[in-house]
Amino acid sequence: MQKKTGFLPKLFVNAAAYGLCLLWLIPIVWMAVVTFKPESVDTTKIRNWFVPPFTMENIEAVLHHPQADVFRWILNSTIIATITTVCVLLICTLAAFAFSQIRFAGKTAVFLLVMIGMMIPREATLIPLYTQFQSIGLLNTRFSLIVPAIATPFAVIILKNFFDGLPSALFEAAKIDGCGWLRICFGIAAPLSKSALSSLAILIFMQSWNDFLWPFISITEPDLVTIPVGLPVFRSQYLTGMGLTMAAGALLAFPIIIVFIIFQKYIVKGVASAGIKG
Amino acid sequence: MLHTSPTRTRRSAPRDTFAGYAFLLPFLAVYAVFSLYPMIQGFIISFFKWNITGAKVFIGFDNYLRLFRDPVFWKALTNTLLYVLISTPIFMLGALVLALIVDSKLLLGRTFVRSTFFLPNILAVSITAVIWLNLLQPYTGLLNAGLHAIGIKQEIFWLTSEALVWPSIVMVTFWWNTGYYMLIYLAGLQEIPAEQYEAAAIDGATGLQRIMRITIPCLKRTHLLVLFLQAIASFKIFGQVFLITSGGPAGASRTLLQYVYETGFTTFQIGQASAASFVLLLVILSVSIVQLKIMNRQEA
Repeated sequence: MQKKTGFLPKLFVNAAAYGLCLLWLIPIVWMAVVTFKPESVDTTKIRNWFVPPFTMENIEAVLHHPQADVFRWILNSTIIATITTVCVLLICTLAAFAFSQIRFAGKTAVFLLVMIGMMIPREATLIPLYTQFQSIGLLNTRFSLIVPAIATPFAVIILKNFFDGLPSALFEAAKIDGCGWLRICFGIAAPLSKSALSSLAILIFMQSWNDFLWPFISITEPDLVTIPVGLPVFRSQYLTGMGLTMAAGALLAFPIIIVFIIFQKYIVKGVASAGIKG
Repeated sequence: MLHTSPTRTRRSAPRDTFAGYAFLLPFLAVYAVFSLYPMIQGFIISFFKWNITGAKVFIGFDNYLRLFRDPVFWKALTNTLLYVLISTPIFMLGALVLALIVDSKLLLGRTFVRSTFFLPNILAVSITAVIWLNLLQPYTGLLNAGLHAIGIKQEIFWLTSEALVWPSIVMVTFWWNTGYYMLIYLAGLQEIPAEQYEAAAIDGATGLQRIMRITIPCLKRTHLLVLFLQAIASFKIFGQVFLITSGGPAGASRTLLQYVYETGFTTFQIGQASAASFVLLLVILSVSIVQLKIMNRQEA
């Protein structure tokens, strides 16, 4: 049904799209501009943006800030998000496989329990979670940042739906060949679910990377601070001058923006498919 | 979403209860200790007077009664409810329009445009907050400068005026999160069968008619999905507001979760904070149950 579309509709759609793109990018571009401009330059004037003077002062001030160790924050966020993602995928794959493929007594009841968990917002259990970690003396540990995020009912349900859709003949054949459940789970089901697993990995990594409230409440040890919790340090001390806060923001945003640009195709596709199945 | 039928395995397959629970054990253990137990514990704490260092004293429903007599709580609750009610349609419409644009066959460089709209989602909340805190400043901020350039000469105090603080938060959140819902809409759009449009083309429908009569009704399931995802996320709004306005001016932008945070961690009334958490939990749980009911009916 290829119909010839006129020039005007095409112009209209593209003008709207790129106009909006510009609006979407300006805040980020402006952050970069403010970062590299001395305080004396008026950065609200676009004509000043891409011409000298430029300065590294703001970046240096961030790097030499006594209470801020931005590389440590980036490292911490990376460690925590990576371990969380791996653990969620591993544990939730096992659980989803059991719900999808293994017959066992009490399955309906246990599944219901998991469904209920999907409706409990983690934000509403922060207070008891805090007192719980306090009483076992594990506040201010990486453990306390990782473990509460591991049991993700939403991941179990997405993976279970995915496993349900795989051809059952494959599983039957493997069983006849004498494969154990573990072999079937990690040898057949998981490799066939790469698309679902990678979508989930992206979502969970992003969630963990951006998690704010729980680490904000529970981490007071400077060595364990993550990006979302660390950044406000700059604001509380230097209310005047936006160069420093913007430089810190830009430094912390930089690695994830680069990762996004490299993997944008997969991320955009993965988020869309996990979203619709979730 | 949400297939509630737990079992699809064939009746003839032999039971293997041991294996079933062995596979579930890691998940269930973590889930019980770090999700279910805190939830129950939170419910219990909400009946005690407890300020973290002192002893716990059972006071029945007093925390709840005090909560409902606390004007600060009511303000936070109504702020949050109003935000959910007003922002949700705006976000949905915005996400739909963006999705229609990036799905259009007429658009050049679609991947770039999609990625651009999604880009802010990858920024941590505190980075978003830093950017917008500076952007929205009067005199030095870029937004007012931009408005001056197009002829609005007035200096607008986005974050310190009670009337403008919520529109500012909606604007920030729109920029930050709409790309995510756009992608969900996009996935929905791509599931609409091409025949639907072909039939409309034969009938001579114009572009706008096609969107109104085919695209929007066909997306019913996606609308529901986005509606509930968005509403639930909005009930939990905290980070961007807290970091940009700290709840100000004068509590005008305090959210429910900020109330929980302040009661629990700045004034250390753990019991009352737990009661407030439980109210939040009930609100979100009821929204989720409505979602489950409606979406299952859709599927049946």
